[in-house]
Order: sequence, then C-alpha cells, then structure tokens
Amino acid sequence: MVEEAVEAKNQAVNKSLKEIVVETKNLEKIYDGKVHAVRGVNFELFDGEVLGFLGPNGAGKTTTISILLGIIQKTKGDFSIYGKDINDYKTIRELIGYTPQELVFYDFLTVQENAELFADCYQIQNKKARINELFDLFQLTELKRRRAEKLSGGQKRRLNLVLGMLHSPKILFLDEPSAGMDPQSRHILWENIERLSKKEGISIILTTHLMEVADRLCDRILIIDYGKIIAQGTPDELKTTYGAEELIELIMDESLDAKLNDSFIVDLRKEFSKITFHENKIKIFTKNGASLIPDIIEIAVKLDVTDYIKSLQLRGSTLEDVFIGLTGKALRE
Amino acid sequence: MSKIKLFYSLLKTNILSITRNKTAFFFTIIFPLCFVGVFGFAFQWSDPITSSKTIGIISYDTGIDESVIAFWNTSIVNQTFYSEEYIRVLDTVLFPESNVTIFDVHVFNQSEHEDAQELLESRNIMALVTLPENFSTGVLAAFRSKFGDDPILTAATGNWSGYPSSDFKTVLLVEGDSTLQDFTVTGTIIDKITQYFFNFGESPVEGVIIDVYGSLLTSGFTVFDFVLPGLIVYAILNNLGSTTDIALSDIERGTLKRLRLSKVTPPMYVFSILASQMVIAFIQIPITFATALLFGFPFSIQILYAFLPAIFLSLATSGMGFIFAGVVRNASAGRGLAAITATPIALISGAFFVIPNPTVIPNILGNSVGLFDLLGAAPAIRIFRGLLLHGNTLSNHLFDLILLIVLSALFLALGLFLYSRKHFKPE
Ligand SMILES: Nc1ncnc2c1ncn2[C@@H]1O[C@H](COP(=O)(O)OP(=O)(O)OP(=O)(O)O)[C@@H](O)[C@H]1O
Ligand SMILES: [Mg+2]
Repeated sequence: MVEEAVEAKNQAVNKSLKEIVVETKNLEKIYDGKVHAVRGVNFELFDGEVLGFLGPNGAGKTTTISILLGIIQKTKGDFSIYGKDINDYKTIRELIGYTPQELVFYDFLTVQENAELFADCYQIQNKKARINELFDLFQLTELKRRRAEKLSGGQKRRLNLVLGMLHSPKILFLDEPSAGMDPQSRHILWENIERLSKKEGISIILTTHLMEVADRLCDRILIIDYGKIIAQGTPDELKTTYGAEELIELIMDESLDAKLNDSFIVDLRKEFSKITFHENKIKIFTKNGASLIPDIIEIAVKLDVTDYIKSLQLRGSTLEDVFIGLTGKALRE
Repeated sequence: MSKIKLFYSLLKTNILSITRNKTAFFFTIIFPLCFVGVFGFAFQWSDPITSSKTIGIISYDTGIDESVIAFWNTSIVNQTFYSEEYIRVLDTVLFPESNVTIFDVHVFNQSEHEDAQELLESRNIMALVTLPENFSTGVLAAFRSKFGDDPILTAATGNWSGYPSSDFKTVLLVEGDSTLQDFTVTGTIIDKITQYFFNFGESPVEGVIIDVYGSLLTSGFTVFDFVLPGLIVYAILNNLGSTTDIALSDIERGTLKRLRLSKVTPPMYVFSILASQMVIAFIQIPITFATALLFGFPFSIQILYAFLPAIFLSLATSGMGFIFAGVVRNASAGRGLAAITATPIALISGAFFVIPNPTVIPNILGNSVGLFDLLGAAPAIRIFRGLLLHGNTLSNHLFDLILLIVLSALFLALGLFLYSRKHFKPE
C-alpha cells in the first residue's frame, strides 16, 4: 500500500515536471448540427512526446486535429496550445507544423518551388539550407526540379511532409503521414520522426492506421472510436490492460460450409467469452491458452470440422488485437 | 523585407497558375489574340469610312438684323442668315486628301420636318441636324465672346451695341440612332465641323450629340479599328475566370489552409491575386495592341494611357471573380459561371458594336449613366476608344474614369465580403 502511494506520487511529480504543450477539455464537434464527429475528448500532449491517435475511419481523428489547428471551429469544450487560446495563435503560429491527410501543395510548381513558396510564407531565414536539409532527409533532392503533379504517390507524401516542417516547428501534427508509402519510405519516415522527437525535442501528434507504427513510435496512444477516447496509455500498458495475455488464432479453410462454420463459432462462444471472427480467422483471447487447446479440438471433433482447420496458433497479443478487442473492427489503411 | 519576398512568392505562384495551365493560358493570352486576328482578318478589306454620308438639315434660323453688321464686309460675317453659310460648309467639306465630300446634304423645309424624321427612322439619312431660330444670333454671340476684348472691334461696333451677350447659348440638335456605328462617325464629324464653324474659341453652340466625341481623324477608320478597343477590354474581362479559379482552387486543393496556418494574412493573399490579374492585364494590352498593329490598326502613343484604366478594369473584374467565388459551391461551378458571363458582359458593354444602353441616372456631375455602364466595362471601352481612335487623353474621360474607379471599389468590396465570409472563417 505504502509503496503504491509513493509510486503514484512519483509519477504525478514526473508528469508535472513535463510541460503540457497541448491540452483539450471536453472537446466536441458537431458538423452542420448533424454529424457528431468528436464527443468530449480530453487529453494532454507533453513536451517532446509522440502521441498517437489510433482509430478506425471516421473516428474523428482529423476533426480533432483540425480544431486544434484552428482550421475548423469547435462546437463545445476548450483547448489550448502552449497555454494559448485560439485567439492568441498569432504568436505561436510558427511553432506549429502540419501535414494534412490529403496531399496539399501546388501541382503546377516544382518540388523546389513549392518548398520555397511555403518557406517564404513562414519568412524563414536560411531558406536554401533548410530546404536542402529536409530534401536530403526525405530523399527529394533528386526530384527537386520535377513538377509536383508528376511525382509518384509516395513521393508526393514526402513532399507533403516536408512542406509542414520547413519552419522547424516545435509541435508537429501528422495526419496519416505514411499512407501510400512503400516500406523503404516508411522506414525513412519512422527514423526521421524518432530523430525529430528525441533529438530535437519536437512534440508530435500523429494519426495512423498502422499498429506496428503506433507500437514502435508512440510514447502514448489514444484509441479513438466514434469521437471518443476509449482507451489510452503507453503501447505496453494497453497490451497488458486490454490485451489478452494470450491469443489462440485458428485459420479455417475457405471451403468450410458457412453453416457449419457458424455452429462451430456458436459452440466455441459457449466455452470462451472473448472471440472475434473475421474472414476466415477465428481469434480467441484467453489467459491460459495452452491448457484450452484440447477443449477447442474436442469441439472441432464433435462438429467434424477438424479437417478444415488450416492452422492453429498460440501467441502473445499485439496492439492490433487490443484494437480489435476494443473497437470490434479491423483497421484498414 | 521578407514581407515583400512573401508577397512576391504568392504573386509568382498566382501568375504561374495561369501560365503553366494550358486552358488558363489559352483563355488569357491566346484567345484574345485569336479574336483580334479574326476581326482584323475579316475586316481587313472593309472600306475605311470615306464614302459620303447622307444627312438632312432643317433650318429654323430667323437671321439677324442687318443693321448690327452693316459695316462689315467679309464673306462670313456680312450675312443675315449664318445658317446658309453653315449648310454650305457641311455640303462642301471633303475627306482629307480626297475630293469626296463627307456629306451628301439634303435641306428640308420647315413643313417637311415629319418627312425628314421618317427618312431618319428608315435610315435613309444618317443624321438630322436642326438649326434653331437663334442660330445666327448664336454666331454673333460667339464672335463677341471671342473678340469682346479687342479695342478696335469694340470701337467699330459701338461697344457691341445690338450684339447678344457673350454668354448667350444656342442649341443645335443632331439626331440619329446612336446604336449605329455610322451615326457615331457622322455625329462626330458634324460636331467637329460645327466647332470649326464657330471657330471663335469657346463655342456658344452646344452640339447635342449622343455617344460622340472625336476628331476628324475618324474619317479613316474601319470597322476593325472601331472594334479593337473593345477587344482589349474583352481580353481583360476574360480574366474573370482566373480570379474565381485561383480563389476556389486554393480552397479545393487545401493550399489556402496551409497558407492560413502560415504568416500569410487574408489581405496579403487577396492582394496577391489582384496584383496577379493586373500583371496579366499589363501583358494583354501590349500584345493585343501589337497584334492589331499587324492588321493595320493605326499606332497611337495614347496606348500608354490605357494602363491606368486597365488597373481599375482589372480590379472590377477581379471583384466580380471574388463575388462568384463567394457564392458558388466549388471551383468547377465557379469557372463555368465565369466562362459564360465574360462574353455577355463584353457584349452588353458594347465591346463589339454599340448597344442601346438605357439611362438609369440621367444627370450626375453633368453626365448620364446607362444601365450597362454599371458593369464597369462600358466606361472602360469608351475610354479606350477615346484614347486610341480619337487621340484623346485621360482628362477627356475623367467622368468615365471616376465611374470605373467607383465601380471597381464597389465590386471589390462586395466580392471580398462574400468570399471572406465563406472562406476565411473556420468551418
Ligand atoms: N466537413 C464535414 N462535414 C460533415 N461531416 C464531416 C466533415 N468532415 C468530417 N465529417 C464526418 O465526421 C466524422 C469524423 O471524420 P474525421 O475526418 O475526423 O475522421 P478520421 O478519424 O480522420 O477518419 P480517417 O481515418 O478516415 O481519416 C466522419 O463521420 C465524417 O464523415
Ligand atoms: Mg482523417
């Protein structure tokens, strides 16, 4: 008891030592009086932290970011960046960087011209040096004379990213930065994000659909669904709190009769409380998986579906499992 | 300093959005040149206006008392009916460097007034000049006004006794169909001859001519010459679409969002669009003019004056562009709307031929304002015609210039209000 109290106190002290850079209180957004996109969101972003917004399509991630940036108006609640209210943003404008989910630049300008324009828009001093630095980091140097419209999808993504960072912001909002990138580009991106947050102390809010990314990059994750934060914590915390300690995954053969498949699941449900079924994958979340496998086999034998089990695996849970356990949906990019 | 750089960057981007876009480049640069080319080509062989124009004259002149001028012995002054001399001048004046008379004059009796009116309506005569009862008295008044200070003449006329006072005015009526280009030319020449006739300096005659200003230079112009100033205005009017396009594309592309997050202020953004349109207009004027020269349009240094009204025409056009951008839902609708409006505006403003223009304000600062003048292009066309065809300067067109400035301010204010209300506020 005493130890726990001391621990809690230490944590509180640690937290308070870190400066809060972004804060929201009961933030809400209703579009056109109809679509309730954000329903009371509360969170803080601490200095130097990478905070992940994880949520299915339409969860309200972009809406939340857009409110914080002042692009759209909140319906209710409060928020501040560096303690400043939206009306005082003028003074902190250059501290904020943004990479929208869509590709936003002038197609008819070259890569270099786009960068120069937005650098001028922030009136940055050592324009050429900064542009070269970012082009090198994101491997755009070779492409700088090409018209933006002629870039490939992933190259456009990289330009989109660079344009939000030209003015060396202190807080970076990255909305789906990795969409459409190949593994190599993604790798470069992750490295750069790590470098920015750890070495330069930039605080980052990023949205992603990639669990692997959230797991690896984010200090903390907010799982958002239907405009609400339904879980939050470090990736590890989420896994221990919400994830089953173990997961039994059965992959069924496609040729299995649908009715038979259904009755198999129904019978499994009688035994196990946490089951998800998606396409031909059955996932059973449980504490002591190994001892339960005989039970599963027994049910399979009873229904005569053993021949249709393509594989049966036992593994520790991932963030994706947590996510699906919580939102009941599979995420797609 | 970096503010200027920022503004320059935005301006450059807006101009590149036109020059690097094939459609936009075609509409702003190539299309007006094609128009000039087509008109120039089509009317290349049209006769300059050097054939005689038939006009009618009715004189109500009652002459003057012979005693007033008894001692004069010169051919002009020594008459009792100056109208006769005036009619003789009209009947005999020739086109420059030619032996063709400008007018074929029909003199009508006072009893034939209605017949004359009918001939005018059926366009058998181009203009009908009515000389008032006090026409001759007006000539004397003009004479006194001009020479009233001359001691020798003052002595000879016995302190101008019997003369009308020098501010006496007589009204000469010139009627015709102002929608006809022929009347425009005819009226101009009559006006000019009248000025020459009363060549005593400030004329006491008010030539009542609608839509006319000019010089005897007009005797040489072709239909193409007449149309060209309108074509330059049309080129600038076509930029209506560019403003709408830039303003709405920045929203659709999301670039306005990026700009708004940066240090770009709304006024700076808007001004960069306006400035880009002015730059385009400043490119359009010399290239359309140069193309016209190729087709025989007479060179006139007055083209330099055209840049000033062009600024305001460009502002008025951008204002309309912003109005469109402020009311439509998306860029393609805006572009479509702009594309189908520029040509009708040019048409009703009289860019291609003169169009009846119902008066809405009969008298403001001594000028009347027509309904279609309110779009801004019509005053601009009149200014351009005056500059390029009649060798006028801007001071001859002060009213139209002021009208254009006022209208451009109104369009801009409305356009910016509508646009910013919709697009500069967070959703
Ligand atoms: N301008 C708008 N007008 C009306 N509804 C909107 C608008 N923008 C977003 N929405 C709705 O608000 C909800 C949240 O959208 P939002 O873009 O924030 O989701 P998201 O979490 O970013 O999704 P994704 O992962 O697909 O990017 C959705 O239901 C969406 O349809
Ligand atoms: Mg989104």
